[in-house]
This record gives sequence, structure tokens and C-alpha cells, in this order.
Amino acid sequence: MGTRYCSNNCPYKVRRFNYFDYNKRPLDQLYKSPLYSRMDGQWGFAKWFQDVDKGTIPDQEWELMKLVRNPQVTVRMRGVMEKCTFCLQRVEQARIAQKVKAGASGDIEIPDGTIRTACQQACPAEAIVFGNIKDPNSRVSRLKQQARDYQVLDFLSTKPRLTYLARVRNPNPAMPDYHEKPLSFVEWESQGNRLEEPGEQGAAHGATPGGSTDEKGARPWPKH
Amino acid sequence: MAEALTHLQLQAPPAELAREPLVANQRPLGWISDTIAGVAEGKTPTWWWIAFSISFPMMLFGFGLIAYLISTGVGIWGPNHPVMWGWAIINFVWWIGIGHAGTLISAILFLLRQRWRTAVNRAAEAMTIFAVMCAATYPVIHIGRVWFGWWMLPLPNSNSIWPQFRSPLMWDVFAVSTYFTVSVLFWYVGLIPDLAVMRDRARTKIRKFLYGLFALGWTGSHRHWSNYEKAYLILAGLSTPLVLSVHSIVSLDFSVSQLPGWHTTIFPPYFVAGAIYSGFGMVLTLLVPLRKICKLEEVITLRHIDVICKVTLATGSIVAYAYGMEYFIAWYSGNPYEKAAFWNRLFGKYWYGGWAMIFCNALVPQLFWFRKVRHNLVLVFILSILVNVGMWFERFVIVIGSLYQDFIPANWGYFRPTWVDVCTYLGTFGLFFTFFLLFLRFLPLIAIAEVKAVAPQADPHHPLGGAKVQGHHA
Repeated sequence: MGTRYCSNNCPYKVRRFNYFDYNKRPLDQLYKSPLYSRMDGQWGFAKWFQDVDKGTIPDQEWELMKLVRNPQVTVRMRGVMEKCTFCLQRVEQARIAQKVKAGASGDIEIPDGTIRTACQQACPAEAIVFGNIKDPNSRVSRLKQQARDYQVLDFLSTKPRLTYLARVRNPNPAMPDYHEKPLSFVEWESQGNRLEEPGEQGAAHGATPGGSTDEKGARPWPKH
Repeated sequence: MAEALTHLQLQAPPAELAREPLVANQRPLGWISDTIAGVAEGKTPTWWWIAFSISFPMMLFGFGLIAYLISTGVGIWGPNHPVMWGWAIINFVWWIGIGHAGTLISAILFLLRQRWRTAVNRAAEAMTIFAVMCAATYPVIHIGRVWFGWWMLPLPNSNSIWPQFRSPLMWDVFAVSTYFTVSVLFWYVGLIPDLAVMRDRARTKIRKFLYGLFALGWTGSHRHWSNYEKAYLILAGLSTPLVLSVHSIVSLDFSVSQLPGWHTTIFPPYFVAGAIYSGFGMVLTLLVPLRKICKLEEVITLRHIDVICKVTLATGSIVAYAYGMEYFIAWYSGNPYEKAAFWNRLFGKYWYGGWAMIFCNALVPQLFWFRKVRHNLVLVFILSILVNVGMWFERFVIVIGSLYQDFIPANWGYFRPTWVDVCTYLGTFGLFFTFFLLFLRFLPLIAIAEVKAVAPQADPHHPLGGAKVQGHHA
């Protein structure tokens, strides 16, 4: 029902809330209440009673809005918390296809690599791998077995399914891909670097490398 | 033996041992009825109309904004990723904190036999009820889909799903609704003898009928009093744990989560102390001008104000200790996130909130150590407002100050309230004062029967009142 408590508690802050009817209204009209907007010759509120979906925008715009959206991905109404679903629609599609294919044989396990999430598909570096972590032989499971696999904020015991592989760097100065870069935040600090804002002190101990998207644009990590 | 006692004359205690009486100037009991009931009788005074003509439109405007909110979406308020809770939750906790003084005064101080409570308990309980109403508005309207708010009730709905009983938000629903119900009952039971007084004094038929209806046929017989006192005691016993539980559970909304700055075991006692502190602050804010306007200085005496200031000082000092302990633990725990959160409170982007909180809640009440301050009503009034400014900033610091920068710098953000946030808050003030003004106008704002019982004349052993010799009138 939209208390947004889960988002407050999420240490990764991956959740996004539908504060407005993004699915129904153009971005410049989000703040417009149907209580005081008129369209198609009637009050928005009266129109809303006739059809809750297209009630808050003019009919023509509604027809256009429908075409703009990705039909496979629903943006739900205001007041609903959204989160990455690991492309549930693709997972379901593969699951159904496999069930149809299996028929009476009962072989409903989806072969590894069948499902590719949208981000995985779009990533030019192919850095994203999706698969069945219950299957020890899937590509994702094998990658997870590597020593450089880590969970973000693992000490909070949130047991995220999404894990990362630590970056591999060449420490040999003779090699072309060698960088004058610290290997960790601690090392970066020990070189006498300090964060610009005192408020970011916490990150200094957290060893969470990555650029700050902070308002002032303070970037604790040297640019690559 | 009896012969000897007949000649025993009780002497007034020496002047230096005498306590200031709870009703000043040896006022007779009839005067107490006339004065207190008089506030709710007669022609409506001009100040009342002025105050009402401000608060009532404010309330209506607030309702209008709630309609805008519900029709449009929670986005018209300030919260956005990563600060998902904004003024709504701050104001919820703030109002419910204010709502703690009433029941504390009426229940805990009743059990502790603090006789001074009689002059302030009725108004403080009314304040509690209206503050809880303001508070309860917020969690309902802040949710994304208000029309599903009933999912919080433990009704197996059409999907056969129970609410999540492990969620502190769920506990909140029970805690606040129980508190409200018991507070209203307690307030009403205490009102019955006084409603009968109002009934008996009523000059118009409709007043007589309505007061009579709510007085439940009270005649003041011994049997009535006996049952009444028992019921009052039982309700006081029931309310006492609630005073402590409600804000403890509100604090669990925060401390059950993982967030640095929220995830703290000190929260329940710290919140309860803060709530009582802010509640007493609000009692002072209301009563200091009220006793003057309604000419009740002889019933709500300087001694009452003095005692309330002392409670404010005590609870404010507990809050100050809690602040100190929070910082100590942030340092002592060695948890870098905890350290960062508390560093941010004082030196982050919302530094002003942190300092306002420490100034108003830890330093300001310390002035109440001085008798001169406690007896300077203008100063007491100003300080009592600072108390609640400070408590508002405390919740601001906890809610927004913890959310805007948490674990991962990539998710850091900033929160700005919108005009709707500010005006909805003003709207709750309108709601509060509208109800409070109606209360002043229609109900006795001081417990008449109880004040009479603590008046010097009512004490049969007091040399100045009741019986003089052998427990009988001479």
C-alpha cells in the first residue's frame, strides 16, 4: 500500500517508488490534480469516475501515452514500490516455452543462457551474467565460486543474490595496462588524500570505491 | 480519651513549612465551580472567535491539501529517493510525542498521588487526544494508496492475507489506536462528574439535554462515586503502560531497521523521555496563556507551572543524556557508518537541525534549574515553544538526517520540503486548535470535582478547612 518502509531499510537503495501516476501522465503534468484540471470539456475528477485509467489526461494524449510504453514492462500506478525484477517477463516467457517443449517428459529445467536480462543484453562489456544459482554448473554459479566474488555490504547479512566480481588490475609497472591507481580506499587515504566534505567521512572507512554522485560533485575516487 | 481529644486544637503549620496551596486565596468551593464552568458558559469571548477564525480555515485548508494529495500522489510532498519519508513521519512522531503528556499527567501522576495534576490533567488529556488525532492523520495519508490503508487492520481480506505482524509499522497501528481509545475513555470517565455539573448549571434545554446525556445520569451519590473512583483507578492502571509503550513502538519503526542512525537500542527510552518532554512543553505553551485569558491564575497557580517546568527539566536532561550516549556509542562502537551518520548530524548538510536539536532539547531546559526562570511566565512560554521546536528538529534529524546519506555514496541525496508539506503541517495545527478551542468552549477545561478535592478547604485535617475538631465541624 506504499509505506516506503522497505526502501528506507534497503541498504542498497535500489527501490523506486511511483510517487505519481507516471503510467498515465506526461512528466510535466504530474503535479496536476484531477480535482482541478479540466479536459475534453469536463472536470478531470468526473472523467476519472468514468474511466480510472484515462481519466486524468485528455483522450488523445492517453492514446499516445499507451504507444510510448514498453508493453512488456508495466509501470504500475502511483503508490506502488517498484524494483528490478530481473526481467520477470523474460523469465516467465522462457519458463512457459520450456514447459511447452518438455510436454510429458517433465524436463522443465531451463537451459543455462536461455534467459538474458535487458541490462545483460545491453551491456557492451558483457559484464552482467544472469542464470540459475541453484545449478552449480551454470555460468553464473561458476563465476560466483571465484575468489574475487563479493557481496556489497555483506556484513549486513542481507544475502543479496546479486554479487560482483572484484576488479583485476595489473600491478606490474612494465605492463601497458598498469595504472597509478590505489588498490583500495584505505591505500588512497594513506597517500594523504582526503574527502572534500567532512560529511563523507563514513565512506572513508567503508572502502566502497565508486564515484560519488553527490550534489557538489565531490568525487572521492580519482577519475580513471 | 475522647475528652482529651475534644480539646485538641490543630494549629496551622509554621509559615516556612507551609506549601503553597493548590487553589490560591482560600477560594470557596462554589467559586471553583463558577470559575471553571464559567469558561464554557456565557457569551463566547472575542479572543475565542479570533482564534477560531484562524484555526478553522487552517484546518479546512489542510483538508483541501489532503484531497490534493490523495487525488494526485505522494509526490506532491518532498520525499524522493533516497529520502522516502519526509515531513509526514516527522510530524507524526512530533504530534504523537506531544500526545504523551496528557496520559502521563492523568494516569502516572494519579497513581503517584501527585495532587497538583488535578488542575492540568483535563486540558492536558484533551491536548493528548487532539494531538494523537493530528498524528494519526499522517501515517494514513502518507501511504501511496490511501484506499488500501485498511490492509493494516488484521482482517483476512479477499486475498486471504494477514498483515505482516513482524513489521513495526503494524505494531504502530495497534499501539496508536489502543492509546487513542484508552485516552478517550479515560478522559471521558474523568469528565462524567463535571458533565453533571454542567448539566445542572445549564440554562437552555438543549444544553441540559446534551450534558445530561453524556453525564450518564450522574447524581453524585456515594455509590456513583465509589464506582467512578474504581473505574478511574483501573483506567489509570491501564493507561500507565501505554504511556511508555506507544512511543517505544514508534521508536521501533526506526530502530528495527538497518539504517545507521536508526538502528539503535537506546531508542525506546530515549523516545519516551523525548515525548514526555515535548508533551510537557506543549502543556506549558497552552496553559501559560490560557490561565491568563480565562482568569484561572488561582487554580493553575505558579506552583503548577513550577512543577511542570521541573518535569520538563528532568525529561529534557534524560534526552540530553541520550544524545550524549548516542554520540559515545557512535564513537565507541567503531562502526564507520554509525560514526558517519552522527558526524553528519552536526557537520553534514543538515547541520542546522543537529545544532537546533541540541540547543533546544539539551541546553534550553537547563534554564529551568532557576526558580526565577520558572516563575517568569513570559520566559516559560518562550522556552516551552523552543522545547517543541527542538523536538521537531530531533525528528527531522533522525528521519531525514539518517536517510539522505547512508551506506553507498552513489545513493546519497538531499531532501527539500514542498509548500504542500509546510501547509499540511499548518493544517494539522488548524485541526488541533479547532478541536482545542471547541473543547474550551463546551467542556470544563479543569477537572472541577478533582480540584475541589485538593483545595485546602476540602481537607478535614487542614486547620483552615473542613472539620476543626475531632473530624467534625465544631
